[in-house]
Amino acid sequence: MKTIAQESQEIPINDHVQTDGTRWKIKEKLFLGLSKEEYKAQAMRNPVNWVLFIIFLVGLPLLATRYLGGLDTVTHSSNDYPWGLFLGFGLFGMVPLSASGFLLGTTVEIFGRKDFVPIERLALLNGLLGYFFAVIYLEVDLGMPWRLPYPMFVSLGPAAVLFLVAWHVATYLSVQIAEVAPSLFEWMGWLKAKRFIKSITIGLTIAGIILSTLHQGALGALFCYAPTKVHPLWLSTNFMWIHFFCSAIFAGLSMVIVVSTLCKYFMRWRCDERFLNAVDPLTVALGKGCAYALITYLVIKIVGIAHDNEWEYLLTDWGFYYTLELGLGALLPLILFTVGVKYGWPNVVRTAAVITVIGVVMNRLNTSLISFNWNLYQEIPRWQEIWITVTIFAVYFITYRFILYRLPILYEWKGEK
Amino acid sequence: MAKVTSGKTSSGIILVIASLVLFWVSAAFFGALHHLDWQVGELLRQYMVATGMIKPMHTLVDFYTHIKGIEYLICVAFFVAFPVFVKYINHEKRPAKVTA
Repeated sequence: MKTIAQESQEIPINDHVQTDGTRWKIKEKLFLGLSKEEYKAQAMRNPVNWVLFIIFLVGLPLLATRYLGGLDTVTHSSNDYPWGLFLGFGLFGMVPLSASGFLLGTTVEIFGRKDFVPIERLALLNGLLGYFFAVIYLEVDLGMPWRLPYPMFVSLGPAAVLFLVAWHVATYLSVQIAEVAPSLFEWMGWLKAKRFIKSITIGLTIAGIILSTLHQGALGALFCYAPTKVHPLWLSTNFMWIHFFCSAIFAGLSMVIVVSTLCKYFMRWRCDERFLNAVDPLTVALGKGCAYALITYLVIKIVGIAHDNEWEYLLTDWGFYYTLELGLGALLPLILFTVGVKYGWPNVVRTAAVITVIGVVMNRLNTSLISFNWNLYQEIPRWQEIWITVTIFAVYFITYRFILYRLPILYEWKGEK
Repeated sequence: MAKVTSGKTSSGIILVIASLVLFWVSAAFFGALHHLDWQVGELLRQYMVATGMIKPMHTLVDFYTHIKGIEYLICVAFFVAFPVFVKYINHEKRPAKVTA
């Protein structure tokens, strides 16, 4: 695509009208202005697509096996370990990384920081896709997707944290679809719909803040269901919700930094000058937010230990592992963010963001899988479970790339908007 | 000129004192580790016992007094540390370097 975009004047598409005055059809826009043969050829040339092909070649039959034969054909799930990788990584890991939507929405729409506009749509899309695929992971774990309305409408459980999480995720997903919709309407040329959504943006953003804040915390509170199963260092019944909420702040911001970096280096042809000029200063600015959230997170983690008087646990093997998680996943990126922001080094901030993303996923996996049943045997996921997890992540990647190639996320639409 | 000399002398004195303190702390730390057969965990445990972070508690009031005391100390330290951190991170305003 990079070469085609350099050689052609019409590609990438960023207007409803071609240079000769004719309007692009939706089908042409979907094929990025290329003929079917050209589109196929550019897809075949991309080595990433071959890797994805191999993942799907094994992953899709495994996924079919899961639905036809049941969860135990691909996982070790049991009453001891009901939450495997699908939820440990897919739900508990993906949701904090998707907090970017409400964070940047708030920054731009509520706090009026219009300097973050070039990266706002990317953050909103990151939030939407992260939540959507968290639900997909949940569905793969639960099975029987046709029964999804049951906990929502038919068999309500208003006293349960899971009920709260289900409703929050569902309503917040709808809010995020509405927040991302203006870029789709711009691309389609449906301006009436776009103006309607724009007129309710403030309401959507406020709804996003309320829903996201509550359910990020609720995901942490969910572990209070199993107070004797989760290791005491990872479980703090009083502070669990705020640990999860606070870590979601730097996780979401770090994810935007990581994704914008990937776009800058691997999808440069699709970015406009406004995005490319803004991405480095904005990376540093987002890094500052991460540093503030990280230092707060570290302190409330220590407060959590003090509140439950768990100092002795720190001297055990689990304690050293916990210290390692905090040291590598929170303290190291905090130092890097601080240095990167202080001296205006975007690449240092980017390194810190990558470590932070890994650290947050590590924390969620430690809480839901590794330190879970710490007094029992250790659950080792089957290779099929790992492969399916990677397969769904590959679908997430393809969907992300499909949208970024087309919709005005990394560039401004030049036609009527 | 005299001011510069005096500043250098003060820095020198501070450096010497800091070096002495560092030497003393290192000697105490490694001496204690040697005494405990190089077990870092045991040294930490003894430190926590000595500072009262680990101690037997017999009543709920004892427990709450203990945990709240430590929590308040952490919070007060953070109330001081956070503004200092914000000031530190915002101290030097340099434009972000634009990378290729």
